Amino acid sequence: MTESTDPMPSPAPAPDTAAGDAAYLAAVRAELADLEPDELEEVVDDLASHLHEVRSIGAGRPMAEILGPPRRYAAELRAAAGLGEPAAGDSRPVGETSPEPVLVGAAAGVGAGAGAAAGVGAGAGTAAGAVDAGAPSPPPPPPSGPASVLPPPPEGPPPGAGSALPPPPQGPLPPPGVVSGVHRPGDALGHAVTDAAGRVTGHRWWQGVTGFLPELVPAWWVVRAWLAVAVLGALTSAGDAFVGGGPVLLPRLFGSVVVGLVALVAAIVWSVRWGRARRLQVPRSAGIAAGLVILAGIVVVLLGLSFVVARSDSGPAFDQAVDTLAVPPLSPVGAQASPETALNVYAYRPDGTPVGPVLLYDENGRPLVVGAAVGDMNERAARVYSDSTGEEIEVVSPSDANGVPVPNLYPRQLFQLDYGQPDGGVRRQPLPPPPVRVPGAVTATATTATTTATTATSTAPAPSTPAPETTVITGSTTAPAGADPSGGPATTAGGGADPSITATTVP
Amino acid sequence: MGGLPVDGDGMDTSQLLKGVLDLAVLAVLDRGDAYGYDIVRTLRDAGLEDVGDASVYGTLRRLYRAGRLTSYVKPSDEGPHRKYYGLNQMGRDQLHASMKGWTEFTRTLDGLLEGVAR
Repeated sequence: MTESTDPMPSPAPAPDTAAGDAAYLAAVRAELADLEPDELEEVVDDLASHLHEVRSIGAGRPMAEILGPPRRYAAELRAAAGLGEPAAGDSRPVGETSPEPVLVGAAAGVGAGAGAAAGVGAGAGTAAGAVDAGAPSPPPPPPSGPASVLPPPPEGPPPGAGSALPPPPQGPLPPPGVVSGVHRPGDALGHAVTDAAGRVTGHRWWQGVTGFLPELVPAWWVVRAWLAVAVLGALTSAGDAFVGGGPVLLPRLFGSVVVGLVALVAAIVWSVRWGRARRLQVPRSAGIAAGLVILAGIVVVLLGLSFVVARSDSGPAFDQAVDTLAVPPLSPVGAQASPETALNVYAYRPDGTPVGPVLLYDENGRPLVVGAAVGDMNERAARVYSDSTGEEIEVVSPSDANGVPVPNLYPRQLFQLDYGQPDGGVRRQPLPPPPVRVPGAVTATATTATTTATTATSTAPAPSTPAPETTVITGSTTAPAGADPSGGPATTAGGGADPSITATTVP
Repeated sequence: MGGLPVDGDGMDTSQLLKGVLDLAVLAVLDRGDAYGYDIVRTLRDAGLEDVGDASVYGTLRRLYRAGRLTSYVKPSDEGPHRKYYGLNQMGRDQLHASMKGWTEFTRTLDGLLEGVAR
């Protein structure tokens, strides 16, 4: 061992030892053939790797001399792993009560000291002396040849002497390993696959994910308990298994929330205890798979819940908006108006009688023009599109006696335009005033400053449907719909919601 | 090596080891992730010269199946990939619980042995 400075000489095994090692592996495998396939693969995988490690220091010696006869190795492993006896035919559940491992004395066939020395040597150059002293007869193969001396692993200090442990798994992955040792050439493909798998599974995120997922399994224990009680509740409560019927997490049992709660607590306790006891037997891969399922389930449940919550939030809000805004969602033709732009104003007495036509002014005497952005209300008519129906609406302002439009005279007349006429013409359908509900028992105490006319005072309940005429523009207006039969000159419609808005009669 | 006495020295250390191999393996892994053969060597270096390879591998498998360990594979330059084992939280919990039990046990036994004339 003149190359003792070499941290990791790795002599290739002689062909006969390679074949012997393969046979040893096969023999141990045969001894453990009753194990579950997954577990058997793991054990054999461990042993294949181990044989290579051992071979690197025990060159030339039969493996059975180093590790003991295959049957004994298998029995020792079986005992230590808490796996059942082969006669049992099945793998016993493993848990806290699994049998204690049985130690077989030092490596079989070798004196304790020598075996330990050989084991400790482990191919480390620093322990070369121990290896030499411990190796009974055959000399180690010459540490030469193209495949026999491999470069040291790029992982840092060589494993071996003392407590030198390999670096943490977070380090960069070394290049693919050179295929040597107990693996025969036919294993090369499988070896490449396992190497590739090793690169993936050795990666940091993989370890993080696979380490994390099994931790989610307890969540499943709780969920399944809840599911069980919920299903039971659905069966016993005639459809009303949940408080309030909504996405509430408290199941009813026999129609009772209390019973449901008690049952839920009991079910969770039982489920967790059962899960903890059983977890000891479940392979880790199953834990990872279960974790994945649970994670997906949590995401689905959260998505569903948020959807339900969003619906229950938006529903009432939407209804309320429809109830209170009472503004036609319209957008103008060729003009910029928000859909909230009002196109018309309808005035009513507190007793629900429609009032009109009226002129509206603000507190400074300026004419109040709603929907000012809708075209130019100095024109007589403007056309807009209804956002809700997509139909075109014509807004017609009343005009004074000289035919001049009066933009603050209300109500205007709205027409729905229908182009789909057989003769190619346009039909103008007058739009009725919207149904409104006048607040009941309104007492108008204010007197308006601009008129001396009587102020409407009424305590009578307003009719639910005022049902005003469809054409309310009268008198001096030139609205094509004709005169309003009910539209006598209204005097004052003060005392409404906004005292700053004063309605006066048309001159 | 200065290890524990082996069979024939009046005490069957393998019987002693039986009960504490889990603790020993967990203690090794507490220093950092390691693969099977690495653990075997560390245990022997520490003085547990009797420890059997198969016992260590079997212990690792059992602890792993019991959810005490994580495991991942890392390619090796020298041959087959190496399967590393590491402690997860359950493993650390067991290590600490076993440590406590071991300490109490040795204290008890020390107390018994104190009165023994040497």
